Amino acid sequence: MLITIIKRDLKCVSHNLSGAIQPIGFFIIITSLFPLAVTPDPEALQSIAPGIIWISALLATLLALDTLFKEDFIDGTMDQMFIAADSLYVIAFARIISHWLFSGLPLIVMCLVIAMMLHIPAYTFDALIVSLLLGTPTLSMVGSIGAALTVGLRYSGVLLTLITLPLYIPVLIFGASCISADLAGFPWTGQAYLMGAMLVLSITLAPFATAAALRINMS
Amino acid sequence: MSTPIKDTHSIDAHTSQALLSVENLTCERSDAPLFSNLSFSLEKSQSLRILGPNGSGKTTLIRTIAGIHKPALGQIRWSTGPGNRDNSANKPNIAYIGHTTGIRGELTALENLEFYARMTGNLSGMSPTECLEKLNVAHCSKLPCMRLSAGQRQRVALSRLALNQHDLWLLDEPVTSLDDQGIDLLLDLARCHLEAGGMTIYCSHQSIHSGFKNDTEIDLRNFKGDHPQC
Repeated sequence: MLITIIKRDLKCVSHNLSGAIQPIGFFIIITSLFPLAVTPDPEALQSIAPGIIWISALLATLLALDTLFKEDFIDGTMDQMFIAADSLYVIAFARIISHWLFSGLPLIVMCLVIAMMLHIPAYTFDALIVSLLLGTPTLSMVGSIGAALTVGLRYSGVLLTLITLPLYIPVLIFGASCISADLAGFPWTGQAYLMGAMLVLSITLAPFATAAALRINMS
Repeated sequence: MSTPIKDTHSIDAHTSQALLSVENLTCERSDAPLFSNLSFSLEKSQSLRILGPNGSGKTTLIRTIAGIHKPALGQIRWSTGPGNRDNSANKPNIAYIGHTTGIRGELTALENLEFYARMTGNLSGMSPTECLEKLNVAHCSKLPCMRLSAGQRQRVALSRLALNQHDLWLLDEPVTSLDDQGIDLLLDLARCHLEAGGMTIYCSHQSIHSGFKNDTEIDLRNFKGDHPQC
């Protein structure tokens, strides 16, 4: 069931590529605005780069959250999947995985290019990638709760942002500090462990909350 | 609570062969009861038509039987199982056609049907393409569904009915935007379904009941709640 839904989402994306590249395009644009607006000076950029990358990643994730359940909800596919699967948990989990595959994963690949643009030295790439690998699935998991709560609303973008962004703060703090610590030559494993803990916590609990929120909106 | 008038057409809720029995069902929308103490039962090869004016709760009743809504009071029992929907071995095989088609616009008609074949199983022996042929939409199986007309999309949705031997069809205004040929094809499918022992619960403002044998009717006006409807 899980794989069937993810495969369908892959097909949807292959038919609608312009929608799928929006988050990653957004990520690239936002990060490239900082050198233009703040300073092109390598040292100054390096010091704010972790924050830039993480804030942009956060906003790019948010961009794709709005449609996480809405399309299925509006066209009735959610009803059909619920009758077939009898479990909103599986549907929620599958959609969260798809969301991460199409917003989180491309972002991790693209962040290496962005890192070079922001003068992040190559020795911090491991911290950068580990923090994003642990952090972006957490963002998808936590964000799905907000997406499920607002699925019945016509214009939910701002409300979704208001619900979700405060919950993203811990990920933002530890994600950015992971990279900053490595830049400064300090060990960054502590932050990485904490992000791992947050990921495990969100994988365990978020799909249940998401399924419950979907249930409320369906009946 | 006023005693509801029992509908003359409804069958006794405790008939032994009844596969599906609905007992004292009360459903509400926004805390106002739509209908209360609704009881009926269905046997193999029977169909039930739900009557009632707009807003009387036809869609809510159908969605409640599908398990999407939770009833405020009352029970829906399946004699094949103890009514425990978590027990997948006893889970009744339900097909639901609602106001929304459940068809993804980006995907082609065939891809949509293949998705449902994998989700619900494909036990009727008919391939997704053959199901589309049943509703005469196989010629647009390669087109993205957003480019199909409303009637064609409805036909694609209805071809889901041919994927499986369902225990129960729940059809909510199934002939909306269908042409005469489409209605005939649906009624052909329905005849086969009823002959194979399936049950159907449907509501329709068009008169398609000629296609359903052993038709019983319930009128939701007879089960209206105590509070005035707004």
